[in-house]
Amino acid sequence: MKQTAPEVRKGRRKNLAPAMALLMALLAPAFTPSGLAWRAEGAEHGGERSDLPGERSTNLFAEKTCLRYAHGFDISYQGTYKRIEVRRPWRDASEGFVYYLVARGHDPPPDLPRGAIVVPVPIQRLAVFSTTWTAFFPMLGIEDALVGMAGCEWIHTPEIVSRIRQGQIQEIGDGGRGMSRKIHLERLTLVRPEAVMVYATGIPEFDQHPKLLEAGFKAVVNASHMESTPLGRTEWIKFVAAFFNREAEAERVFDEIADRYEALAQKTRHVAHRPTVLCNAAWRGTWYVPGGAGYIARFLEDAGGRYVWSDDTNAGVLPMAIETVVQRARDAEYWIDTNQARSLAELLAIDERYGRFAAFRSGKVYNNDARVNARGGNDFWETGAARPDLVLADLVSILHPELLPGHRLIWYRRLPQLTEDAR
Amino acid sequence: MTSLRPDTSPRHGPPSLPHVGAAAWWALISVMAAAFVLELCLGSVLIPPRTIWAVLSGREGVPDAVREIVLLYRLPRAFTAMLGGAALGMAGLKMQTLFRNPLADPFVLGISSGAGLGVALVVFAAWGFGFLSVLEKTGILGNTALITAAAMGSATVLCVIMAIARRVENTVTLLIVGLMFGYIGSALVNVLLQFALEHQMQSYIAWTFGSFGGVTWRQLGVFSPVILAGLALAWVLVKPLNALLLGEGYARSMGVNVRRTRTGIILGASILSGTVTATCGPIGFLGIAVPHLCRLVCRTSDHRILVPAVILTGAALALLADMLAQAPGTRVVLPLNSVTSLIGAPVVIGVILRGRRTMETGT
Amino acid sequence: MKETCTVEYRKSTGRDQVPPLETHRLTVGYLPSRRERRPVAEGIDVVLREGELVCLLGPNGAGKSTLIRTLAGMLKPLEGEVRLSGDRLSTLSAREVARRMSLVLTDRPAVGLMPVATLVSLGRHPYTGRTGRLTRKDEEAVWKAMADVGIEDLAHRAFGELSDGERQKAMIARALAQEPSVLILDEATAYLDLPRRVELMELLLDLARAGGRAVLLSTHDLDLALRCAHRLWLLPHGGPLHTGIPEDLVLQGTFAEVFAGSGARFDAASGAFTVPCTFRETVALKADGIVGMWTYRALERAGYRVVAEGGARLCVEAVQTVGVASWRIHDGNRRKITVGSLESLLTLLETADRGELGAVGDNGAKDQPTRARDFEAALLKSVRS
Repeated sequence: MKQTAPEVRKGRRKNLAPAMALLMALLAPAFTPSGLAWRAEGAEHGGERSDLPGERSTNLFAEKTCLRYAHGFDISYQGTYKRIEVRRPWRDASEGFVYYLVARGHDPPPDLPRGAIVVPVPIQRLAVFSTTWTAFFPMLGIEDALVGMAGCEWIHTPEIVSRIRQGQIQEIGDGGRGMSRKIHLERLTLVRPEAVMVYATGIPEFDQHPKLLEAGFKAVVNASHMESTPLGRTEWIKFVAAFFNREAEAERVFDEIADRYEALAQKTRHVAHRPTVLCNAAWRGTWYVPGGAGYIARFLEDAGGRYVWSDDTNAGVLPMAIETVVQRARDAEYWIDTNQARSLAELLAIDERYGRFAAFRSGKVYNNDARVNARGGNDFWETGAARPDLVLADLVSILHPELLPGHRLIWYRRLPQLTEDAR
Repeated sequence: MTSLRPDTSPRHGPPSLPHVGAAAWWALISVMAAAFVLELCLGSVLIPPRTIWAVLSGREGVPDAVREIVLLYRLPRAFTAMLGGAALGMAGLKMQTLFRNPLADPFVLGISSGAGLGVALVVFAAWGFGFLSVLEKTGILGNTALITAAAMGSATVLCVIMAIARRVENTVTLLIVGLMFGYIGSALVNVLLQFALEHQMQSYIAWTFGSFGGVTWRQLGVFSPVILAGLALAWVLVKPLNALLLGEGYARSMGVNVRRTRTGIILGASILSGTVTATCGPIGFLGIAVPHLCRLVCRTSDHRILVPAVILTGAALALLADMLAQAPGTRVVLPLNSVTSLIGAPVVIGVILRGRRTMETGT
Repeated sequence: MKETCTVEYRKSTGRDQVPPLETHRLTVGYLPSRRERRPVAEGIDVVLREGELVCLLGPNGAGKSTLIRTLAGMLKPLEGEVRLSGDRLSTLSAREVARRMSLVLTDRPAVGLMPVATLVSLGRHPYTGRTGRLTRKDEEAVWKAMADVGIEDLAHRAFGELSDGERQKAMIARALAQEPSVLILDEATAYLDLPRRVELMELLLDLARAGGRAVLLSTHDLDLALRCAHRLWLLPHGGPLHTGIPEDLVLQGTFAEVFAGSGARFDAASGAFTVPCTFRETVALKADGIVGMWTYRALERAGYRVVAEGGARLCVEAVQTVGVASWRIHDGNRRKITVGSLESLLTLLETADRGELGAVGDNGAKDQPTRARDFEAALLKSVRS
């Protein structure tokens, strides 16, 4: 998997990701800070220079990265450059993307394939197409490098918001909403980014990267949404960090988050009763529910719940006939994430038969729209994407309030009950 | 269906005129009834017929979820399909006769575009309320609001069409105007789509798939009388419809008030197609295929035979399409519109390829 | 003469009170816009009587259709009124009009699959109730209509499978099922071949006479109209409408006047239109009977002016022996050639034109009856070379 130059193998950690995870999970509270120190040391040790002639500057990257949960990308360090491979940018992708991140002032490696994308790092001007990665920037301390954003009106992260207000971040979207929002190439040109980070769907109508590449921008595809675990998604912070040579920050931040997450998940691992949970809502006869192998299912499991379709093996979203939903989920104890319905009355208005669901009757219906700004931006997809530990805390607090007393829900809220006359 | 062929047995006095025997009608009714039963039995969830019967007869011992599925989901769905299919077939028949065009369908006057526009406005339009559409903001987003909006959209288009119909003598002109309204409506919807959020676009697209399943008993309580009224209106117009087959010149010479008949036809067909579209989304192909199928099987263009035949056949075909859309035994649901196209298109092709141009004088 | 005919008719119908259809100072035309008024014919006072077949003739664009549609009530008259059995058309309900008058138009109905009997039964529209259900009486009327027209055996055939002539008959039967006293047909013979047209005219005559109806037929078929119609209505461009029996209209020159055009002219003698052309030669014809008539026509078409015997240098004599016709040509030089067909006659005359009559075959021609075929061959050979 990882190819390391022979020179740097000396100080490198071996890939003991699963073992480390177990170890950390067991000794988390005490071990973590020292563990971090140990790793930093190791990284520093790995920064030895080679003595071979002509290779004086091969180890410019002092900090390396090691992936514990994410499977969608891979970084290899080749001295003056890093090679990042994004493996499966969309569901049926036959091939991935490769980016060569070359240290500033150095030449790109010879013999690169045609059309290879070379990005000088650290980047100083980055434009970003999705709000999902926005929260990473202040965490890594690189918010100054963010100069362009699509959907500025939806941002919650305070540092970014203030930069937007000060005009340091320009809007690069074309004003379209939702899936039809595209990058406005002229605005993007004015921003002069060194790279543009986008996600890809494999659907030509929505994909931005082909047009960007044609227009001469360095389009970098971030496929964090393809990960099937919450931590896997968040671990793409390291992907972003690699472009800024902030791997150490990323490691530190992520490990903290991962540790907290694992600790919380551990608490719920052996609960006596796992309440059943139903997700999403239907539109006119068809429900689109998360698959049993996706990250939402994982969240629920880690929160001590049992997703009603946990036996499903798909990671994506499943269309589901309403009859099937009724059969399986009518008696689910909790209903989490009701899409656009913001109150029980609204749910009833959508389909009055929802009123017969057990979760509805007991009022245990929650939605993740507690932090939505006036323009429709939902912080759940922003900060929530970067803090799965807090999302998990919310979920645990819903499903097993006794485990987290005193926790106040951040992104989730219970739907207001029906008033007497509305019932 | 040999008994649908004209009766050629000799009798005393003048021989009887061609008519359809009672046996044929009973056969058709039983086909529809069988489809109804099948629809109840088949669904995404496998429920044995015994259990279904137990639920219908009110017996105990059936799990709540199953009981709910049968009574609250399948039964209204079956009725909706029957009424919707009959309505669409009837609207298609009327349009084909009025315009004397075998390609006319219930939506040829732009009714479904009006409905779509109404839905789009409700789902998308964010008139200065930030990202939420008006109805989302006021908290009454829901099925009823949607149906109302779609109905109002259809009604608006209908009023405009009727106003134009008063001034326009030529029926072909009316047809073209209706088609243009259809295009305008679709174009406006596409414009609105540009400003839609993901969930809104998904809602709209899901609406365009069409579905009989989203209708609850309460909505059926409004749906049924309207449809039945529309079908009754069609029955009243049987005589003038027959006269119109000969052409407006002949119809006038036989005492038909062509203008009033035209108004009645347009009104009736639009109420039927508009109501079905508002409640179930735009459902295509049934309106074209069912009249052709009936004409071919009954071997006549006589509306006295066609009107009831279309009602029964439309109901049966809609039930069949709904069954297939449910993809019984699997978890998924196919878009109803696709299923009706897959069924309807071959029917139309088959009718044409058999060399019987059911609406032409033939040469 | 005229009076006698009229009296005869009145006697045969037995009813001489109110005619089924009549007009008073009717002006027909159309209104292209609110302001504009375009009259097509003015001051029309005509009467349709029971038992009469009337043909409406006129050049294209004269307004026959407009007149027909006004009489049928489909167009409003610009002035004047139409009366059906004494009642003003404008005051009658559509249903009442339908019971008194029915139409056969050129519209092609979209009823390909419908059995003929059902189609005819549509004609009972003004009599049936809301749903169009037929009573016994209605059924009998339908069968009677089909019997009158002679299409009982077609009752269960699909309309689309019929031939053009049968279809027209079916549409006439439908009109008859309305039990009208006035039957109006607009160009009913348009798509038919000649035998079918003759058949149709005979049918219409029969329907008029035996059925006691008034039948008005607008047609372009001048020949049949002249022969079959009881009366003609002639509508020239700009009016006025002329009426009368066919022969009167011909002899009075009205016919020729109405159809006067730059091309054909109406020839009273033959009762047909002739195409004028310049004559090249005068030929005297001695012939009679059928042979004579057709010889005359052939000569005329070939461009020869035909005069009586002795009126020209060239003379053609038609001879009939034992049912076989032959023609003898002789010019003033007493040269005679006999041929067996009109075609060879005409070819021979062409050579005469060129002054070479009898150039070949002169020997012994005047004395012996030659076998026509040999001469034909020789003649053709000389013409070709």
